[in-house]
Amino acid sequence: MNTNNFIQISIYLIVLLLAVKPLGIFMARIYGGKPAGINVWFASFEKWIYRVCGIKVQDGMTWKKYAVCVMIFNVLGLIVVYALQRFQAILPFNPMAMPAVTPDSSFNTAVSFATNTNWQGYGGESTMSYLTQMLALTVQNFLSAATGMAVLIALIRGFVQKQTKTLGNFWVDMVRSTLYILMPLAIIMSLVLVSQGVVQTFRPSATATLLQPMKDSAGKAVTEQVIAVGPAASQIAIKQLGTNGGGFFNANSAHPYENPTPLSNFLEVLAILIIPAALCYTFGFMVKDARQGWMLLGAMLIIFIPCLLASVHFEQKGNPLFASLGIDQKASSLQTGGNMEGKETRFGIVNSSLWAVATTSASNGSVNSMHDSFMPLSGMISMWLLQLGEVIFGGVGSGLYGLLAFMIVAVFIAGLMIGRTPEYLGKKIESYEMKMAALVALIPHIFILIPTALAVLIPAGKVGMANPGAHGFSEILYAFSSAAGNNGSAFAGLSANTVFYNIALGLAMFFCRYWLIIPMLAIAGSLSAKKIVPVSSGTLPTHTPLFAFFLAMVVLVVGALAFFPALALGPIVEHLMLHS
Amino acid sequence: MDWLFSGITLVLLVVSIGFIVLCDRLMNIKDKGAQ
Repeated sequence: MNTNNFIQISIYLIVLLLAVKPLGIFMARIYGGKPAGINVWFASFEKWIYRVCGIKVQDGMTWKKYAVCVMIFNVLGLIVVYALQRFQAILPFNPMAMPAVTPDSSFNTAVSFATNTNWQGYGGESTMSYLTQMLALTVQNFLSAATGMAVLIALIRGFVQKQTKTLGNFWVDMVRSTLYILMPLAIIMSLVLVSQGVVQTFRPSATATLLQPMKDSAGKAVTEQVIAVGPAASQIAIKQLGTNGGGFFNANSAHPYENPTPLSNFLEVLAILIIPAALCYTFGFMVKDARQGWMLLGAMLIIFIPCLLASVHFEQKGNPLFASLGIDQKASSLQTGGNMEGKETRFGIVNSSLWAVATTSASNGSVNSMHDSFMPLSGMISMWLLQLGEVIFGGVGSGLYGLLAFMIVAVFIAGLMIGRTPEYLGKKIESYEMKMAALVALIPHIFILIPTALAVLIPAGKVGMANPGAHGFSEILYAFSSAAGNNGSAFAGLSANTVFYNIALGLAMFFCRYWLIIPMLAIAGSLSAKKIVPVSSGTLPTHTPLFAFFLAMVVLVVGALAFFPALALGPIVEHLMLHS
Repeated sequence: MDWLFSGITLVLLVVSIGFIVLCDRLMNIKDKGAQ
């Protein structure tokens, strides 16, 4: 760590925290139907949408109806994304004449984008037509993010309401999330990115004549280079804001047309965390106790900041194998120093590590450096953040509702420790809520550990490994951790565009998205039907820094106990071998 | 292959709705216990 690293990290965190309160209040007012500027200007358009779609705003839904609507809407979206990929060859906006995507890859991508994961087993510029990128992938970036936000708001209503069976209207929450929050932010972000040089065009790929002709692997002379372009800025804006992460180009945000300048890099990495962080304040605002929101944000930062500092430290320290080759890894006025393998020199260590930790804590999955080339322990940090259940910021909406499941577990444990009835925000936490919260905490573990074990046992799983030994195991463990966490980033060494990985990862993404949403909505329904118990001397305070620390420890212990043995076989062994 | 993935998607939807019903049953069991 050096002064430059500290300054850049501090600026990032200060700007992020400054945005939390205003954006948090704005979102709370949008969901509460209170005037917030934009919802007044577009009120008639919102009403028109409801009229056309036959939505009755006042019709509340029970948790079951809400959950069924979530499932049907998302599965229909999945089918549309699948169909667009399969038919893209005969559809318009395909200037590079891309053929139809294979069925297994289409299925994987459809599940991936519907579940807000954006795992990409394909290369965007060499596989997808512009229509598929825009109508299938970008649209799902909005809708999957809005789904997570809608489920969170339904859960918050469960805490706020008393003896009520309904949780609001899913369609109204979706419209408001998309129309008033995601669309305006994405439009502004797109324009700023275009100003920085991110491409936004319908023209086909450009061709440039090489100044220095080369030979390909077959010995054939190569004199031209195809430079892919397309409508990228509009997709990149929402991929960051909606914690989706799927890049327009295969190199994601390491590509100069996705992330050309220091300002674009700062804004893109800020966009990863801004909505998940602000939703904490939205939560506090809606439950009428802002301290509760700050406490949840504090618990996230208790894990996030040490992980970030450790990642920067391990990368800045450099690779001992490079040192033995005589490569200078010391930071100076001429170079950033450290382990620069797989990183852009224009971003250096701190911006690569900041992005890696932000993207894996936030269920985003975009990358501006290759996680496969990180030092074993900093790679482990990113992997562990995925395995904690994507609750440290997490996806928009999904991160906070996941953390609230851990909050229920924490309140229950704290209640047992001090002999008080477990209560949170005046709602008694009983066996049903605990059972559902336990499902939320444990389902991802099943879909990470069991498929990883299967993949390293069968030939179909081993065939995609680019590296033998501990690093190859890490690549597979990371892939299933990423899919189950609905993150989408990859240790790039694994060739996952095979029938086995497309189906296995697709199932992990599906179950770890919707089979967590369903128990969370069930908790919301159960809580909503309960009375609110008045605060008394027997009430356990849950807004204190002590409770934030306790909550962070509960998250850490669950994650550490479940995944330490697997991590010991991967990055920990690799670290020990590197230094032996 | 398209039929295979259509089938998988349909099965995923059906088992997920089954999971919703299961969670609801669990809630009702709790209610009976409380009585």
